[in-house]
This record gives sequence, structure tokens and C-alpha cells, in this order.
Amino acid sequence: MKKANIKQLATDNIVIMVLILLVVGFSIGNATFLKPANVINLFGQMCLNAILATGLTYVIILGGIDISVGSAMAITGILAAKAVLALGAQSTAVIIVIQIVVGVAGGAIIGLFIGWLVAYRRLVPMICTLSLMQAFRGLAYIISGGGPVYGLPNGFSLLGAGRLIRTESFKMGIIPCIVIFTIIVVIFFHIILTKTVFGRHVFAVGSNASVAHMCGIDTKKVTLKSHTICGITAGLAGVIAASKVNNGHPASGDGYEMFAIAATVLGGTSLAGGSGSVARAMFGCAIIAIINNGMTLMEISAYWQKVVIGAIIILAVMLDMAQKGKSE
Amino acid sequence: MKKKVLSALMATMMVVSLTACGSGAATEKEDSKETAKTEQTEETGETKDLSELKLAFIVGTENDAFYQSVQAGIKAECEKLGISSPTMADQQLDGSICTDLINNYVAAGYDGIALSANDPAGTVPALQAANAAGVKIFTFDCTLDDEYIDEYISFVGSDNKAGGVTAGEYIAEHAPEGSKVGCITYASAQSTQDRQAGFEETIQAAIDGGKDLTLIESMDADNDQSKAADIMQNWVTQYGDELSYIFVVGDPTGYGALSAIQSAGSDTKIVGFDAGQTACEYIADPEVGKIWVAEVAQDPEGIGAGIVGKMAEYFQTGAVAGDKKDLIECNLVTAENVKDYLK
Amino acid sequence: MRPFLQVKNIAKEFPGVKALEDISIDFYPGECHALVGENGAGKSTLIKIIASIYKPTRGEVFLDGKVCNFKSPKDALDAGIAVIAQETAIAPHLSVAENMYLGCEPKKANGMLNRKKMESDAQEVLHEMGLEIDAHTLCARLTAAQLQMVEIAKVISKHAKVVVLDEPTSSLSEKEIESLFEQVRKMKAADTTMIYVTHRMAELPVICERCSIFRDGLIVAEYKVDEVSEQTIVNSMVGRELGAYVKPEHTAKEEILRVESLCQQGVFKNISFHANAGEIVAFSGLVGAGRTEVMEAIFGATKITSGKVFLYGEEVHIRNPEDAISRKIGLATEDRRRTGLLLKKSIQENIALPNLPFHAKKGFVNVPWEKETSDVYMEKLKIKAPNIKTLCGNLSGGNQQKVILSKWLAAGVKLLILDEPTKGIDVNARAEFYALMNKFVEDGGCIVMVSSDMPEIIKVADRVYVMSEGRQTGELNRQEINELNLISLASPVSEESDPN
Repeated sequence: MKKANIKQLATDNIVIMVLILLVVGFSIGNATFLKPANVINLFGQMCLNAILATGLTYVIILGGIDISVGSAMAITGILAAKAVLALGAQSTAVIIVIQIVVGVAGGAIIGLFIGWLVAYRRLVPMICTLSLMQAFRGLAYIISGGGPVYGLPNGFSLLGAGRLIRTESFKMGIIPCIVIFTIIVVIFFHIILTKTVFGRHVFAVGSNASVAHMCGIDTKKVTLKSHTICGITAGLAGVIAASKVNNGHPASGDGYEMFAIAATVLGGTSLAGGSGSVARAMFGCAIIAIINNGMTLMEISAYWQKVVIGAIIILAVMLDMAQKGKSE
Repeated sequence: MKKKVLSALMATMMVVSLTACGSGAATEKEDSKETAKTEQTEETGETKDLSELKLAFIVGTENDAFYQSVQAGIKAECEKLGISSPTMADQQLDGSICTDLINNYVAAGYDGIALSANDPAGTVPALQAANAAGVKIFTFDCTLDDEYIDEYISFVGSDNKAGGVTAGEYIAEHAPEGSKVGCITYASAQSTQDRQAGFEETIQAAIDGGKDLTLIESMDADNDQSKAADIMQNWVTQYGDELSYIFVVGDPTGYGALSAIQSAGSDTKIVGFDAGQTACEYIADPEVGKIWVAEVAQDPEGIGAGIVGKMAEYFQTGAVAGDKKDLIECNLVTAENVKDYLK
Repeated sequence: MRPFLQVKNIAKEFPGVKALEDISIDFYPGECHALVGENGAGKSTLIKIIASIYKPTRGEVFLDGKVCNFKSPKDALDAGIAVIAQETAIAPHLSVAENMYLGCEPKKANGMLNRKKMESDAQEVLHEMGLEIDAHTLCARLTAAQLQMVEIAKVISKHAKVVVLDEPTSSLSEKEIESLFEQVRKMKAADTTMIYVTHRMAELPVICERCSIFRDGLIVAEYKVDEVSEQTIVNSMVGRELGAYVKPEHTAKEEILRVESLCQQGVFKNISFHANAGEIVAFSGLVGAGRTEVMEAIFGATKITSGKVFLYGEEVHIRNPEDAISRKIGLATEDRRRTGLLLKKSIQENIALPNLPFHAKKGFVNVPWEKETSDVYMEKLKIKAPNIKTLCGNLSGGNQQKVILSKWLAAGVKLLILDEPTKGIDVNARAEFYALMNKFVEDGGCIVMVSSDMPEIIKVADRVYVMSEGRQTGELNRQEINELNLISLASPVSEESDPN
């Protein structure tokens, strides 16, 4: 009985098992991997993906998708940089307020637009966001004038690159601000998804839109709101990415959508809709970040990194499918 | 990865949109041809041929400051030589888009196409077809492998490998004995691969020649600042101040590495490639200049002007004098000479 | 004679439900063996086991004396077991011939499709069956009956040795049924082993030799059809349950719903009726008469073209289901699995779904309320499941319907619209469900029920409206409700819709 339970637990949490294996493997293979400094780096490096995956989880639970998030990132990143320069903000507090306002508002407008197209104009999400991925990227170049927006005050990089609590051995600080910010965003949207009526409605619409409709749920509004949330997280990720490198660059976020979708799916969110979790998507983000970090430390060729990331995602999804198939 | 997933859809969309662009451009050309003809009577015979030429210039990506400058150089030189409204196109760093563009221009009856062969192998079949149709091919910035040297008339570009060598020599000279050096690269383009190779070979030669350096495995940042920052952060954690110098194959990669070095407070120094305005300002800056110490400068306007010159020469004389490959030297920009590069 | 197909000691369990217990039947070649029983008695499960769609929990299937170890439905098909399901498995955009040879297309020596041979073979089979269907026709152009024939032609072309017909006559006319039986007789003459699932007792003596009676996953009796009367079969089918529910007297109270000249372009027109507190009003008619559409329009799920709806005497404009629910109207749809329940969600989540906004605290789900309510209704309606976390997909039809009822009771609805409420529910669960409906109207609620099951209407309705082809054809009060009246009002008025 007990043996069966352990086996069940293992198959239920295959992604966590992969994660543990990776950690064990890299800590044996490289002495730096488990050093506190690297662990701090690791948490910092999974943040952008984590913020993106948070919002994507909503639209994927709905049975939709948004592959324009990477391009949306570039837009808000540039807007935040431009806004800070235009307003001549110098104080760090003001800059952070500008960053968050631009991230949330810019992202919300983008998300509302996508949500409106998908919910009220009935566009297929894949095609809709595929087109917008191009359009947004183009807009980013137009707004920025083709190159990076730079010359920003130091405060601009606090959210993305700053660290708190400085000590003797950690002169630059221990806790990256980006980690604190990400934790807040992730917990906030995790609670919205799991504890609120709206969150329940997201699952209901994703499971079966007709049933949800007949139960008095405005399925279009739920779709609109979910895309708005996805837009907001993309907007925030864009601002954070710009902050991390202290400039707004129109090429920022290129290809990020695939890693965010991969992390979400690794976290057990079904692309068919109806089930998923923001919290579990974080395991997916951790896996991807650990592979990148660990392989750089071990000086494994960049080409192999791509192969390994692809292979591990396929493996995890396959195991997940096999396990789901059995339960049906 | 993204490209694989979307390729089917993209291909369809691109073909449709580009065919549309191509034919649009062609009609525009017809109009300008007519205007040219009416003016002809007063013009001297010297520039007559040039004003009638239909030329297309395909850059790697219009999203990049380097190619923007190349385009500026092309436009300026065309104006100077009286080549009316040359067609400017963007292959978006995608060999299949480039192929479509070439096919469109061949179909539209262009006289000559100049392209940056960012995906040399992928564009060869289209170039062979273009040659068979009598369209003259020129390359700039990136060119074909020597195996296919007959497929183009002339090439103008930076010597990317020599640029990498220049960076390598600077680092080999300045890096303290016993330290480590590395390269953050972009593995998906020929030009950046050449820079990386030039750098790595030079460092290796210095090591073989007795210099006590360690060359760590080069990493690919996909031309993404944030990824470059993550790689740099990992390196700083792993090697600390032992890592004395890094070479970045392009400016955006450098911005990312810079931010990681700044936030870690590390002593690693950057040598970049491109010498865009931002990078030059960094070198000139008293604070940032301590980290970003040097740049390998290309001459994009010179490349643009150079290729137009070669085309003009060919269409007027039927041949191009001198070497088939015209490699424009890369210069090293440091705090001493950075003033010349600031606009 | 030796049985060709045997099932021995078959048992099948689903999570929380025993679908079959210890079933053993011998099927003989050249005979038609009927499987009869109420919905949910286990007939379909047994067929799926024979066709290797399900694996039995216990027991074995023997084909020609040998144990079958089929890994997939395709293995069973290759061994000569063909199932013609209730809903036809025909690809509408392919031709008749293409459908008949789907997956086993004849090929030329070079590996290309031999279209000529495929079409001539198909035409020959159709011709032999005496059908006037052109093998080139797109299946989308055929009637339901013709599609059924194409399915049979497909089976014949594959020379199946065992043919299972799952309620083939449910959507066919008398004439079409006769030609279907003709095919069955031909197949029997060719020594095919036939298995026939039906609800229509009258069909048994016509084409079947034997019958097995299913009840609650068990075989309660097996007869030779010519040795017993129809009544015997019906009695053993329903057991002692027949007549367990006695229609109570209801007294209609105040009017709750009144509908005047409701129209929806091209779907229904001029529907006018009223329903009072304390009564069960039924809508009778044939499938496709437009009853479901009327109910969905009243519930706000679809838009009306014209007409008025009154609640408690006041005119209302119900724009969407949300609006309807807030006005205390509930609708239990016909297709529970597709539009009624979230099958992959728990009982608790399903009961709570329409009620969440009304009990939320600042947008947050009121989890204690949710749990308590689910527990209360689970107890009250005797929903059979391990606990409120059980997924609805694992429940039997009757229990699923109880969950749906619970969610509307929890919403405190006054007007409950039930669309085919006992479709696919076994006899015991039906009686239970009728009692729940009765309790609801006695407590002052009003039920509008759509049902195609005439005995059900006669058993439970206080008043009946009959619809035919999108029009209202009559109203029957309690004394007038009988089969004759229902049938005559439900029949299409004109003959022009008759395909023949």
C-alpha cells in the first residue's frame, strides 16, 4: 500500500522529480552550482519567464494561447524607458512607480485589445496573437526609433538588477529585487486564480464553455479579463527586462513566448484547457533556468543547451501525458 | 524553436505579402523609368545607363543600427551616382525570406541585386537561378562560401574575422597573466561566427605562444540582452575577478553583459564589436569606460557606398577591377580615439 | 449448434460505479440476439467490451471457441466483429464508397488508390442490398436512414461475422425500419451472428430469436422470444419498480411564467403558454419539434425575434443566462455531458458554479458555504458518490442529473426548466427523480419539462403543450393526457416533409 502511494506520488509530480534530478546532477557536476551566490542568480534568472508564465497560465487554462507576449514586452520596456526620460524622473521611488504604472497600464491595453479580438471578434487566439507578435515587434521598433532607449538614471535598474541586504560577503546585496517583485506578482495572480469567483470561472470556461454559459457565466468577459491579465504580466515582464539591462530595447523578449509556454506546460497546465496552476508553472520556470545556468557553469556548448532544453521539455510532457493517459 | 513552429504559417504569409511588395515595387520602378526617359534628352550620356538601372539591396535586418547605416550609405551613394530610387529590402535574418525576395526581383526583371548573405548556404539556389536569368549578383557584409565564389561579381564587407583577431590581440595584450577570458557570441549568423572564430584563434595562438590565459567555452546569447546578462552573471559567480576580459560579438549583447558586471560590481572588462553610438558613448564615459574599454569598429556607410560603387562600375564597364572581395578594415576604438566616432 | 461468440463472467467497474456484474451469454450464428433493458442497465458497456473498446475488469470473450486477446477496436474489427453505433460513424464529406472502404481502400499494384474498383465494389454491395444509393454520393446529402444503410453496407463489404446493432431504429420511420429488417434477415441467412440492442419490445418477435434482459448490470432473464409474451419481458425488465411512482394531485397556484407569441426566425413561431407555481407543465412532441430551442430562448441562451415573456405577471427581457439565473430560473439541458456538467470537475464545483457570485465575499469564493451546500444536497438528493470531491464524469447518469438539480436548488430557483430530464437514466433513478420534481412543485416551485418519452409525460405532467415543426399544436389538461392525443398532436401537419 505504502509503496503504491510513493509510486503514485512520483508519477503525479514527475516535473518535480525532473527538477530534483537536475539539481542533484548539476551539483555533482559543478562546484559553483549550489553556492549561495549562484542560487541567488538562479532565482533571479527565472523571474522574467515566471512573470510571463503567470499570465499565460490564465489564457492556456481557457484553452487559448498568447504568443505575442514577447513582443508586448518590448513595447512596455521601451515605453517605460521613454516615460522616465520624458518626465525627467530622478528619484528611485518615482521611477519605480512609473515603471509599474507603464507595465500594468501598457500591458492591460495590449491584453484588452487581444481579449477583445478573441472574445468579441471571435479570432482564433493562435492566429490572432501570431499576427500581433509581428505587429507589436514592428511597433516596438517604431516607438524606439530602431535602437535602444538608454541614458536612464540608475534608479531605473533597481527593480530588475538591484539587490537588497548587503553584507561583507555579498557586497552587492543578497536578495534580488526582481525576485521579490516576481514573488508578489506570482502570489497575487495565483490567489486570483485559485480563490476568487473569477478564477473559478476561468476554469469553468476552459473546461466547457457551453456549460459555463448555461450556468450564467459571461464567457466573453472571462476571456477578455484573462487576456488582460496575460497582457499585464507581459507588460510587467517587459518593464523588468528593460530595468535588468538599464535600457529599453526593441528586440527585447524575442522568443520568450516559447519558453513561457513551455514552463506553463511543464507545470501541468493542459493546452486543451480546463486545468492548470500558476504555482506549478514555477517548477517549469525553475527547470528551464537551471538547465541554462548549470550548462553555462559546466561550459557545455551553447548548441547543446538548446538540444537539452528541447529534449527535457519533450520528455517531461511525454511522461505527463503517459501518466494522464493511465488515469483515464 | 519559434521559427520551426511558425514556419508553415509564416511562409504562407510572407510569400503573399512579399509577392505583393515585389510587384508594387516593380510598378514604381516603371514609373521612375519613364520619368528618367523624359529627362534623358537633356542628360549627358555618362549617367544614362545608371539612371535606368533597376537595383535591389537586401540587408540582414532593418532592425539593426549597423544595417541602418549600410542602407544610409547605399542611398547616399546612389543619389550621388544618379541611380534613381533603388529598392531597399529586409530579409529579417531569414534565408527563406531572402530567397523569396531574390526570386521576386528576378521575376520583376531587375538588373542587379546586392545582398547581405546572412544565410549563405540557404540562398545559393536562388542566386544560381538569378544568375541563370541574367541578373547580376553582388554581396556585402556577409558573402558566400568560396565554393560558390562564381555566383557573385563582387563583395564588399568588413573583415569580420580580422575584426575578431583585432579584439583578440587587444585582449591578449591587456589581460593579466593567469586570468580567464571568454566570448559571448551569436551563433546563428556567419558574420558573428567569424568574429568569434577570429577571437578564439588569436587567444589560442597567444596561449600557445606562452601567454598564461584560459579561454572559457563561448556562450550564445541569441542576440538578447537579458540572456547575455544571465550568462555574464553566471560567469561572474563562477570565475569572479579571474575573468578579466570578455569579447561580445555585437553591441546589444554587450549592454546585457555590462548590466550584469555593473550589478555584480565585478572587474571584468568588455571589448565589443559594432561601435554603435551607445557603445562609443560608454567608452567615452569616465565611469562606464572603466568596464567597456574597447570596440571593434566597422564602417557600415563605407560598405554601403562601396557596393554601390562596384555595381556602378560593373554596369558601366562590364567588369570590376581589383580583388573580387573588397574587405574593409576594422579599426579598434578605445578611449584615445573614441572622439572620432562620436557624432 | 455451437455458439459463435461467447462472453463469460464479464464484469466491468468504473470508478465508483459497477456497470456490469458476472455477465455470460452465448450468441449463435444465423440468429439475432436481442439485448434489452432500461438505459444504464449495462447493454452498451457489454457491446463496448465485445468491440474491445473497453477492457473488462473480469471475464473473457470467446470467438469461435478461442479466447479473444484484442488490443484495440481495430483488432476486433479485423477478427470480424462490427458494431453499428447509435450515432453513425460516417465522414460526411466523403462519398458513400469512400466511407465504405475507409481504412481498407483497395490499392493498385503501384500502391495508389484503386478508385474504380472501390466504387464498383461499393455499388455492387449496395445493389445486392437492394438499395438505390449511388456510391459516388457525398454522405452529407443522405438521410439518417440512408446513412444507417451505408453503415450496414460497410459491414457487409467487410464480411463481418458478428454484427452488433445498437438501437438502430431510434431515428427511423416505419418504412425505413422495414428495409433495415430486410437487411438483418439477409445477414442472418448468411450465418452472421447478430446482436441487437433495442428499447422497442414490439420489434423482438419480428426479427429476434433470443433475448437477454439486463437490469442494473446483471442479466435477470434470458428467453427464446417465441416462447414468452411481451408483458413477461417488460416485467422482468423493470422488476417491481413499475408503478412505484404514483402521480400526485397538484394544485396550481399563482402564475409564474407566461409567454406570448414567442418567435425565433426559422426555428419556432407563435409560442404562447403559461406555467403556474405548484404544477409540472410538459412540452411534448417529436425530436426536433423546436421545444429545446423555445426553452433556451426563454433562458436567454439564444435571442428571440419577437414575442413577450412575463414573470409573475411582469414583462421581462432576459438577455442572457446570467439574467435568467438572477431571476430565479434554472435550465437543466438535454445533453448533460456536453452542456450540463463540467465532467472533469468535482460535484462541489459543479453545484457551486452558477451560485458563486451570489455567495462570494469581495470576489473571493466562499469555500465553507460551497462545502456545506454540496454536503447538504448530496445528502438530501442521495447522490451516490464517495464524497463531494468526486469528479462528475465518474457518476452515473442519474447521479449526474441530481448534481444538476442540486445546483439549481442551491440557486433557489422558482422556475425549473428540465429538458429530457430522465434521458439515459435507469428506472430506479427515474422514480427517485420524479419524487424530487414532485417535492419541488409542492414547495411552490414550477417545472416546465420537455420530454419525448410519452409514458413519462403521462406519468408526471399536470398539463401538456404539444409542439410540431416549430409550432404549438395544442394544449392538454390533466384529463386529456393520453397517448392517442399526444401522438395525433405531435405528428407533422403536412406530408411535405416526408422524404419519400
